[in-house]
Amino acid sequence: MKQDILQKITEESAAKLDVPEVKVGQTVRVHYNITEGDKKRIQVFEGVVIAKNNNGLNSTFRVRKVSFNIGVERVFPLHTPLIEKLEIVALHKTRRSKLYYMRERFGKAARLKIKERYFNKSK
Amino acid sequence: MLKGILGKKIGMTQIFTEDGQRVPVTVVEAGPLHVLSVLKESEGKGHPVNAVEVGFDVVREINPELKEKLGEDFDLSKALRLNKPRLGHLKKAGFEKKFGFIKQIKVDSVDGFTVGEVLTLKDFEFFMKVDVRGISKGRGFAGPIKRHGQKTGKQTHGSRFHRKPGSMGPSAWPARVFPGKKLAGQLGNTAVTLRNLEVMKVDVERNLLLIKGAIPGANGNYVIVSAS
Repeated sequence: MKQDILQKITEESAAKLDVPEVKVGQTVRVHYNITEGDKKRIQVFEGVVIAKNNNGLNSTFRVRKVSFNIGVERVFPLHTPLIEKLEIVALHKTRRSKLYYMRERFGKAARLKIKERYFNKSK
Repeated sequence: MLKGILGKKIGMTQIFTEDGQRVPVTVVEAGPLHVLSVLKESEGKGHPVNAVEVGFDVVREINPELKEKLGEDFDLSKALRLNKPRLGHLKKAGFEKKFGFIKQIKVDSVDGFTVGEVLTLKDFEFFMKVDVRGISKGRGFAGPIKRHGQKTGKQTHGSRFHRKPGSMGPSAWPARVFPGKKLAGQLGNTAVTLRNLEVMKVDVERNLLLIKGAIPGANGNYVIVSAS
């Protein structure tokens, strides 16, 4: 009973994403709330999920993109209320749970084989 | 309005705030409180301050089946495992149940409180900051390192001075140990008050208080949450 209450409270504070599951190998578009001073805006970060750390409320996922020939990675908390929207663009065929080898690949070598494509629709 | 509320520590977890911060919280089950008596301030032999006596956490109730079965042999005192003076006090307020925690809580005015009513978080004045009083976890007879945070000696290199309390002080004068010398003794299992704790959330429906950070005692311990 006691554990139930604790679990419920934890779950209630976690943001409910409108996607069923974030998976490694997905191309996602993260709409993230950013506060600069007292201004708020939404930044869209699109890239491949290369790692996921499952740790209850502290679960995170790591998104990698190549921007102006420079690799950029960002770690997002999975349950943060700051994620306004999460779109899944595509799911790629992958054979491991951490795609860190993508860091050594650029250009054509950095392609992944698409398993499913969702055409920018949030699923 | 009540200036404090009785509660039970349920445990710790963490929650997200709206701006995305993760905050450690202690969940406290607060109320409902059963008013056992209303104590009005009066001079002389009376009560020194305005207060209400409340009972929290029903630990034993009458089993109606058993009562029927036993008929005239039914002994309320035995059924509730309460002695008769205590039972009489509860009966006066109209409660035939045993409470785990009975305390007096200060109030500004006793108007509006009636004996026998049940109070919940709704009747508690909401504060951003609270003091939480509870019984700390007992550590038993602990040495000076655990109890007072003293340094240990070296474990190796022939040290022969591991976890000892050290010198007792000067010798010929004063030829005694000063009072208050930090030595081994009972640690914990004492009343501890933590002040100015932030209230993160009040859940009136489920009688829950979410307080930022840790509070004294083990899970399941009774605590008093009062205004800071």
